[in-house]
Amino acid sequence: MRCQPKIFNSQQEIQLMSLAEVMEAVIKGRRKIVKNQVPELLAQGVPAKDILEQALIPAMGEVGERFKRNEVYVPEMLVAARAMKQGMELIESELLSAGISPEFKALICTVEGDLHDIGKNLVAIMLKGAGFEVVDLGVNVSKEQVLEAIREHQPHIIALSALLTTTMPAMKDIVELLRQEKVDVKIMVGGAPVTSSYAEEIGADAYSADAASAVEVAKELLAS
Amino acid sequence: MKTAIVTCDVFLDDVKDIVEEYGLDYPISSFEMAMHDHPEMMRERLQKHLESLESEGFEKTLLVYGSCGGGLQGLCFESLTTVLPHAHDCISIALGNRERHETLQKNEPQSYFLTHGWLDSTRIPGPTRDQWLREHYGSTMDDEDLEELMDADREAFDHYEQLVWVKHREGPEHRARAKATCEAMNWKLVEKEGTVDWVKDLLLGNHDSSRFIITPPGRPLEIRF
Repeated sequence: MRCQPKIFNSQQEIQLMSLAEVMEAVIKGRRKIVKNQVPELLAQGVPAKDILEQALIPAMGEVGERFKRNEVYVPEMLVAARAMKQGMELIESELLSAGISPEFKALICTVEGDLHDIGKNLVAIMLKGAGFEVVDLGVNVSKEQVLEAIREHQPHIIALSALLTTTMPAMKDIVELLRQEKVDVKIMVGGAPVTSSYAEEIGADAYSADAASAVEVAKELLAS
Repeated sequence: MKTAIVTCDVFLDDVKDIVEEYGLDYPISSFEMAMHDHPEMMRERLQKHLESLESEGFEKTLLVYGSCGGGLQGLCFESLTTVLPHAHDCISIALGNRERHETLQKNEPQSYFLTHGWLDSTRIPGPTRDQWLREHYGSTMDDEDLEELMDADREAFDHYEQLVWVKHREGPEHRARAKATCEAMNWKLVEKEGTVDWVKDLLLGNHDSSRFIITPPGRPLEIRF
């Protein structure tokens, strides 16, 4: 049987196929495919915004959903995040040239005593993809360091992460200090053991269950 | 009360030893380690399993778990009482009290804590984990992609500086595995004295309210610190 070549009806169809390939490459953590495909798409005139919104962001959303269903494990999440980050780096300057610059600034960290940063890093990537300027303070960040960073960077919102019930109390300490110092910033919290009722109990402004929902939570918080 | 034990695999050998030593007539069931990575799924699986015990007429389950990332929060049964240590996780239990765990976590956050149970698993970073990654992903990725995945996985442990082995028992391969991890990750090996007393008290019914959470039927299990 002769192999029948695929006939594309339009340039748009070709581009959609390529965006789908980039999305699939991010989901599977194939950073080198992203590194090759994204510049090609840009060269073809595909807007950076389309690459971001139709490939990179939905890819990480899909990875998050598969992780929740236990279809992928942590290593796959990590390598997908690397592939997304690669994509973001390649489109960043194009986004700026298109006049898409951050409207809001977010400061993010893992709280004192806690070195886990997988979730935090994913949230940072998703916030960046959604147009936030992100200042990442890293891990094991004390309440005093958070206060100092807020004064320096003047974020609109801070996102605190804790992965351990032993370190969750540090979130409460940060909220208390910021309220005491009358710092005008929205505070959202997250991390596997963190719950919405805990967020309410410690006086945080919002809670996010995962990286995918963090963006919507942050936007709603800033709109309120 | 007709009683059953449900334990994480991390304590399975301790549980079996205690049951045998004290002649306890409690059936034991266990789940694999690291369910805390997926607290919602953990809760669903435990709820389903304990409901099956309930349907078999069990009235009490002794849960050899801590809060474990919130995976037990909200478990609720019609006729089953649950008892578990008021602990953050297996490390609190192995250290003997959660205050000791909290202090260590605060003063030595660069510590990757584990017990002998974890040393028996494929989860700990180093050669064992690398082998598991190769076996699990090797057939679906080319060498370059596999190396990238393994590199990304190793990076997740970059912030740690020492392996803290909370030790209350030592098998023939445990020390070698601990050392292999430290060598691969360039970590220091630190040993802290561990204990099985909290597990023993759970199984023997020494349930003082300061160390155990006892939840009667009809109420959701609530773990607060």
